[in-house]
Amino acid sequence: MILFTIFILIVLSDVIEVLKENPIRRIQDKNQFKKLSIQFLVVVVTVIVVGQIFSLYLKYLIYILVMGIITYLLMINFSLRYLNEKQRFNDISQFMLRLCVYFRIYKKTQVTLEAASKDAPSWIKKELTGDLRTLHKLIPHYLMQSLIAIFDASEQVGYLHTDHQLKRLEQDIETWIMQTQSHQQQELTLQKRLMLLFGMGLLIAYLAQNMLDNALSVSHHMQYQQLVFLFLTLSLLGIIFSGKRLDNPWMLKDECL
Amino acid sequence: MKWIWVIFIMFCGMPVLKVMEDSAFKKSCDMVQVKISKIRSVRYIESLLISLILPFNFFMILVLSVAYKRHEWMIQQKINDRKQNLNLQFSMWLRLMEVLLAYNTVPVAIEKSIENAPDLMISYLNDLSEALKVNPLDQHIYTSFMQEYEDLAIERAMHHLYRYAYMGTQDASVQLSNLIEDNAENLKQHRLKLLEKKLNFFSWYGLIPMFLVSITFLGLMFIVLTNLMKGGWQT
Repeated sequence: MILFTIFILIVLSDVIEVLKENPIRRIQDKNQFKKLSIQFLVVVVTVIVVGQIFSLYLKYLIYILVMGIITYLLMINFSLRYLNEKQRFNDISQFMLRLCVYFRIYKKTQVTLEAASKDAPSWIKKELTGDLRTLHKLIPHYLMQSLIAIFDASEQVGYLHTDHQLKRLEQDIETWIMQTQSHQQQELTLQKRLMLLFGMGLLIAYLAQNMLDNALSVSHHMQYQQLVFLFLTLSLLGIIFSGKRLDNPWMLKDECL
Repeated sequence: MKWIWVIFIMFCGMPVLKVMEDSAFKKSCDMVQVKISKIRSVRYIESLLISLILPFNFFMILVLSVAYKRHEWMIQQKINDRKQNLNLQFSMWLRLMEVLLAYNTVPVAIEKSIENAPDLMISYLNDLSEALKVNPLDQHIYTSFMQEYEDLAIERAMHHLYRYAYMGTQDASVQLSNLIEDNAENLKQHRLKLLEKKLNFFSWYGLIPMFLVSITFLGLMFIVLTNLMKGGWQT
């Protein structure tokens, strides 16, 4: 009971956030909802099977089941947020590239802003007022600031003087996109490897307990029940924390002004 | 002996601590805007508490030394972090300067850059801009900019900016262009380093499942052994 309470306390802030956001409500697609329902059932069955093969008492099995469901809901929320962040980064980077392209064509700030805002994502369109400063508030990255400075310079001394810098900036934005995406890919690969390690850990623990249970029936001891319960709880916490890592903005904080 | 030591710390602790502070440490504290008097007071209280709690022996001296030194390590860590941040922020500022220099003189570009400069640089840039208003062609003003951080990239960039300000675009444009190229590369390297740091930290998570399995296995072995030994040793 103490362990269960500690688990709930650790994940409480995340659970409250999930309840506030209610990610399930956001799922409009019927097929996706069906897929998630099947996943949910698989998680419930898997947790029960794991509890059974480790010969857990019903009390611990119920605790593990509740914690498993919480973990599953949190992981779904983290992955949805990851997708949101991914979308946000794509929106920002593509919008910046679009600003560069339109500026090359029109060579005037206002026309460029109008043209770029037409096909901009709705959340950017909503914030755009035609003033360059709002752009910096919206996207506080240093590359955006350089872009604003180029626009300002072009208005004052003419487009020709800033053409070279604009090209250089476009290159920088592309490098930024490439480096960020490759990093996120590496993060995902690491996350998958970590899940595999947790799976392997579970398998090794099962083999060890099975071997010892055959030699001497240990599964009926209270100490054994508590030990396995602790192991499963900490594994679930490890899974939650590793999933939480993916829920970070793609734009580096250090690069924002 | 212990009480002589406690009395010594109580009455002579403060002056001794003051004498032991070297100028380099004072300079470091100034750099990270930490009051040295505050550190001295904390050191005094810590020394007094350690002397009161622990018996007078080698172990106490060791704990006292660690407690004394830990402030220096902490300040050094802060300076290293600040230097790293400043290096990145300086590169970001230079990126902005690159654009501003296209249609401004160096002092005007510096003044205009203040509005959008990174946090850590604003106060230094304000001082630089004020000094340049008085004497825009004084080399010392350029070379002494953020000198206390002893950053070669900053020093080199300021030399080029001075040259650009003094000689004009014709002489310095090639060097400045090279500097800008280097700066762009520097920014990319910084980003890679930051991303790598995040990944390196994440890779430690891999130890969690292995650690949990090891603990579980040891726990199981312990349960089995205690059950086997229930009846005591019987030969």
